[in-house]
Amino acid sequence: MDGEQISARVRAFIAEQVRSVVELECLLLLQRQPDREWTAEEMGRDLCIDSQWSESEMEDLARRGLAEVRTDSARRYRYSPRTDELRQAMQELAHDYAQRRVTIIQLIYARPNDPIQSFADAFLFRKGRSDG
Amino acid sequence: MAETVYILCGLTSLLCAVLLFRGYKQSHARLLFWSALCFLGLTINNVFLFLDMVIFPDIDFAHWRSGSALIALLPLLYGLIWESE
Amino acid sequence: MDSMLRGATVMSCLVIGLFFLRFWRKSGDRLFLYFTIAFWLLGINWLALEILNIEELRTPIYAVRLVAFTVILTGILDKNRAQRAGRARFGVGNSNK
Repeated sequence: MDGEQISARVRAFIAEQVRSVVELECLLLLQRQPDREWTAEEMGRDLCIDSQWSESEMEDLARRGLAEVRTDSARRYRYSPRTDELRQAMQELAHDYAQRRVTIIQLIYARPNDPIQSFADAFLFRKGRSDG
Repeated sequence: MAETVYILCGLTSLLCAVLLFRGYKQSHARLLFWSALCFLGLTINNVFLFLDMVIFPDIDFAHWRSGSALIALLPLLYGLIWESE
Repeated sequence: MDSMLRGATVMSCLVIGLFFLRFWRKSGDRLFLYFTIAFWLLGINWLALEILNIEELRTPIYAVRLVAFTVILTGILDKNRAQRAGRARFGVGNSNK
């Protein structure tokens, strides 16, 4: 499968951190201009999505240590990965997304996003997904 | 007799820990990581029990056992609360 | 100190069991019900150890622990058997029954 060309680091990053394509687009928007601070409205306008949606994505990203929030008159978000590991993974991912967008999107939606399901699946001796 | 009990308990929790670690590597779901830690802790707790009851019946491991049981459960509790989405 | 640790342990088992109970309701996977029962049994085990601090009762109390882990083991085996049976029914993959 095409996914093999993507590095293990990027694949791990996607599996752990990237819940949706919109989330990735938000992150990439921030990453492209790392010194700029955005409000949810500005991001929404740029990405053509509802500002409430961009706000909830950003809050989640901030909580997970990928972005920073500053509150003055409005909440502003800035690209700020908590560790170097995250920063490097994002760099690679940005590059891969530009080159192999479809593959990355496939990987995003291939991730098992239900931890409860994953817990149950873990107890299958043979690899697979639970039937019920 | 008692030994079999402790060994069976220890092996079962070890099995769970192994399966969950494997599952964590496959799915990257953090809940599984914390769960695996818990079952590893329960395995250790069972080892303490074995040491206490069978190997060193004269020494009282009570504090170690109570402590290790709680220490084992806390990661699972954390994982269930924060990482089960 | 020991009492407090035991109390916290019992409480943790109760809450963990409740989470697994919720997972069972949500996913329908019987495995979670097994885990609920197992952790509640472990909770009973530690509760009994605390309340009945009698040497003679130690062995039957540890039988509860054994049952708890047997329940988990049963759940795992049950799940794998059900999975294999399901696969055989739909002819998916190789199943050696």
